[in-house]
Amino acid sequence: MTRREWLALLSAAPLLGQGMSRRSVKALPRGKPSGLPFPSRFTDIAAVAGLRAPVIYGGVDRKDYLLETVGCGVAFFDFDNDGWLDIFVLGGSRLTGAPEGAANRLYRNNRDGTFADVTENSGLRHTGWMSSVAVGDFNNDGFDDLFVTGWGECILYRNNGDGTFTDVTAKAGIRPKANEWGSGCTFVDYNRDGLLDLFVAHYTDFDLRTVPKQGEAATCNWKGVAVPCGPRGLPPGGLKLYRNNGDGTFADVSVASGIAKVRGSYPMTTVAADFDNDGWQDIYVACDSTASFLLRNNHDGTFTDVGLENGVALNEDGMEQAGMGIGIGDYNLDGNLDIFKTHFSDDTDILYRNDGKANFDDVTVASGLGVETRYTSWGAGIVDLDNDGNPDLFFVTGSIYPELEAKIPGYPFKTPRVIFRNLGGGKFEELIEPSEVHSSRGCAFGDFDNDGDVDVVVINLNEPPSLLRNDVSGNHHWLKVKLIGTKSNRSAVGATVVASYGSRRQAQAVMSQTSFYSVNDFRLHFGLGSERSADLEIRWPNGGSERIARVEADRLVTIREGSGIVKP
Amino acid sequence: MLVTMLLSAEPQSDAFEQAVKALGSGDYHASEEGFQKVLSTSPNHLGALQNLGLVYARTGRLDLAIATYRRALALSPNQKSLSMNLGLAYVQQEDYASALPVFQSIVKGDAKNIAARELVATCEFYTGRLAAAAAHFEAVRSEDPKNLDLLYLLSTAYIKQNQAEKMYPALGGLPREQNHFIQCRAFNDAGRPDDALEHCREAGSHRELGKVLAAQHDPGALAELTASVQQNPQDSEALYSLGITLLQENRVADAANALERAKQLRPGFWGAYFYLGKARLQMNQAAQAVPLLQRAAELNPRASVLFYELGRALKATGRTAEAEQAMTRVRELRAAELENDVKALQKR
Repeated sequence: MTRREWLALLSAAPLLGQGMSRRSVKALPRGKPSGLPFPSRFTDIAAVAGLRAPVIYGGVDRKDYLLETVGCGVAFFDFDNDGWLDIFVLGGSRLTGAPEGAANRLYRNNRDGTFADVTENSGLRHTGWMSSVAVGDFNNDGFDDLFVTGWGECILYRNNGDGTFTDVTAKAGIRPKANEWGSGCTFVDYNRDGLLDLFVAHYTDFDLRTVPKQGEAATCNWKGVAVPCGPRGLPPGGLKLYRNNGDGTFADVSVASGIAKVRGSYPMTTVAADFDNDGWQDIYVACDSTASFLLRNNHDGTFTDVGLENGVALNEDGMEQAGMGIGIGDYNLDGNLDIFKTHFSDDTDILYRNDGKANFDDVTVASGLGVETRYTSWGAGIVDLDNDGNPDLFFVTGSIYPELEAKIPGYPFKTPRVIFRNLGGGKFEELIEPSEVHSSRGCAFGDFDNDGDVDVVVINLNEPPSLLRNDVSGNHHWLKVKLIGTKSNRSAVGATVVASYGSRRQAQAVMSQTSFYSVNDFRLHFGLGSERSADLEIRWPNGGSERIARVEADRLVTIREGSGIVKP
Repeated sequence: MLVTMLLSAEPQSDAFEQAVKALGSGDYHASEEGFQKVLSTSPNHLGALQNLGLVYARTGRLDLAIATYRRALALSPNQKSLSMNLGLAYVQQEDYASALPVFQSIVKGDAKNIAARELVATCEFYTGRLAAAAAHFEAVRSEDPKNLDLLYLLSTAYIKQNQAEKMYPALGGLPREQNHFIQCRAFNDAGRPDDALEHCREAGSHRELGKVLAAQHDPGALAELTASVQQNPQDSEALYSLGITLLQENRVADAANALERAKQLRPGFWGAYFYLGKARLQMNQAAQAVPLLQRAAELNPRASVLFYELGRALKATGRTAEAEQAMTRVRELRAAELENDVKALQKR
C-alpha cells in the first residue's frame, strides 16, 4: 500500500468532486540528497530569441470559468524542412473579447539562436480558445501538417511546403459540434495503411449559458474558496477517430472502431504509441478527475479500453487522478515504453512501469516521486536532460486559480519547473529552481539549436513562452535519430526506436502529441553517457523493423525505411 | 440503532414462530431456513419477509435484505418501520442517494419523526447537498441538542461550505473536550487537517490525533494510535487506523494483526476486510486476498475501489474472466458517481 490518500476511506464519506482533483495527498518525506552533479543548465532565452508575444488565456487575476484555466500547447516542428526546429504556439482569448495580438503564432528558426514571427503570412493566424496541437504528414508529401483543437472548433492545416498552410478542415470532412471543448488530438496510423488517421478527444460539452460561474454554485469550491466549476459536474467528453481516405478526406469511424463507446471521463492529452510491442498503435488518454483510457489496438480496425485491466486508469490505490499531461519514455531502460502522467496539486504525479505487454505497475512511491505534491503539473517528458543515458523527468507547473493565493498563501498561481533526475536503479531525485515561476501549461522538448541536448519551450499563461536552452557540460555522448517512412507514414509517427548502448537498452517513440497538448521534436534524442556508439532497432509503424549496428555517437542520423542510414 | 425486530400480526405457523425464536437467539442460519420455509408455502407472508430481511441485514447480505424489504413494502407500503429498515440497509451500503427518498417519504408521512429527519439530513450531507443538510440538521438540533453525530455532520457541512463560523453556536453547549473533538473530526474530514490538529490535541483523543497525523505522514501518528489501542483494546476504529498506518509503513505483518482484530470487533465493516486484502496482496498472497476483498465488496457494493482491488487480486491469481467482471463493476460504479456529480451541478 502506498502512503497516499486514505482518509476518505477511513471516514467512508463520499465527497462531491469539484475542481480538478478530489484527492488530498501529503508528500512523503524527502531522502538525503545524492550530492551527485547534474551537468545540465537551463537558461530562459525567450525574449532574446524573439518569443515575446504573451499567450493570452483568460483573466489574469480572476477566472470565472474552467475555460479560462486549462490553457494550451506548443509544438517543436520543422515546417520548412531546413533541419532546424521551428515553434508553433497556440493561444487563447478572454471572456471580454480577444485583445490585440491574441492568436496562434508560428516562429521560424533563424538558425542563430533566434526566431522570426512568421505568423502573418503563414496562414496560421487564428484567434480562439485553442487547446492542443498534433503534428504529422497526413498527405505524405514530405511536409509536416498540423491539427489543432479548441473550444467549439478544430482545424486541419495542410503544409503547402512553401512556408504557408491552408485550412482544409471542411474539405477533410471534420466537423466538431459548437460546444465541444476540443482537447487532445493525435495523428495515428491505426490500420497500418501508411496513412495518418486522426484521433480527437473533447474534454466536455461546455456552454457558457448553462455552466455556473465562479461563486454561483456552492459545490464549486476548493478548500473552501469559490473557484470555477468543473470538470466534475460538467457533462463528460468523448473521443473520435477519423480514418484517412488518402484523398484529403477523412471518414468518421468512431462507432465502427469502438472508440465512440469509450466515455465517462474528461479526456485531455492523447498519445499514440505501441505500448504492448505488437506492432500496432495503441492510444493512451490522460483523463482529468476520472479514469484514464488505454485503447488497445485489436488489429482489426477496432480498439478496446483496457485502462483498468492493465493498471493505467487509476493509481495503485484505485483512486482516479486529475490526468493532464503525459510523458512517454523508458525510465528503467528495459526497452519498453513507460508512462508518466501529471496531476493536480495535493496529489503526486504518477509513473507507470510497463512490462512490455502493456501491463503497468504504479511505481510512483518506489521510484521516489511521492515527495512532491505541491504543484499542479502539466507538460511533461521522460527525457535525458544531461545525456548520462538515464532518462529524467521534467514537468512544468502552474495553478489554475489566480484568486486563491490571497486566501491560501500555500497555493501560489505561479510555480516552478521540476526535474526528477534519474539516479538509475529505478530511483529519481527532485531538482527545482524555485526562483523561476510561471503558471505554465504545455511544453515541448527538442534540440532547437542543434547542439546535442534537449531544450524546452514552455507555454506560460498571459506571459510570453519560455525557451529554456539546455547547456550540458561534461563528456557525455548522445545520438539523435530522424526517421523517414516510405511504406509507413512519411513522418514515421508511431515508430519506436530501441537504442542499445553499453549494458543499457532504451525505447523511444515518435509521437504526434505528448506532454500537455504539445508536440516534441520528431528526432529522437538518446543520451549515451560514456558510450561512443549505439545499436539501433527501428520498429516502423507499418509493422516492419530494421536493425542498424554500431551507429557512432554525437551526431544526427537520418534513417529512411528500407534504406538504412541515408544521412550520417 | 436501528434495525428493529419485526413480528407479524398474521396467524402464525409453528415454523414461523420457531424462526422468530431462532432470530431472537441470534441463530441466523436456523431463522433464515425457517422464514424461507414459510415463504415457500406462503410467498406473501409479510412477517416472514420482514424478518428474513432482518436476517439478511444482520448477516451483512445487504442486497438481499434490500430486495426482501422491497417485496414486503410492496405488500404493505405504509409500514414505517419497514421503510426505515430499507433506508438503513441502503445507509449500511453507503448508498445515500437511494436511502434519501426512502427517509424523505417517512418524514412526509410523519414530520415529527426526528430519527427520519436526521437521516434525511445525513443522506443529503453524503450526497453533497450540503446547504440542505445544514438547514435540516439545524431544524432538528433544538430537539436533539447533544447528538454528537448530528453536530459532527453539521459542523463538517459548514466547514465544507467555507462557513465554519456557523458551527460555533451549535457546539457552544458542549463540554470543552467534546467541542474540540467535534471540530477535530469535522475539520479533518472536510479536508482541512492543519486546522484539525490543535482541536485534536485539545480533545485529548489519541485516536483522532493519530488519524490526522497519519494522513499527514507525521511519524508521531503511530505512537498516538498505539496509545489509543492500549487505552482501549476494544476500540475497533483505533485498531483499524493503526492497521492502515502500519500498512503504510510497510509493517505488513503488524498491520494484518491490527486489522484482523478490528475485523473481529466489527465484522460488518468493509474497511478491515479491504485493507487486510491489500496487505495480503502486498505479501504476494493474492489467493488469500481474494475472499477478503470479495467480502469487503459484498459489504460495500457501491465502492468502486473495492472492486478495483478485487479485480487486481483476481487477475494476479489468473482468474481473468472474474477480474474483467470486477472491472466492469468499477466502470459502472464510476459512471454512476459521475452522473450524480453532473446532476448535482445541474440542480444547483
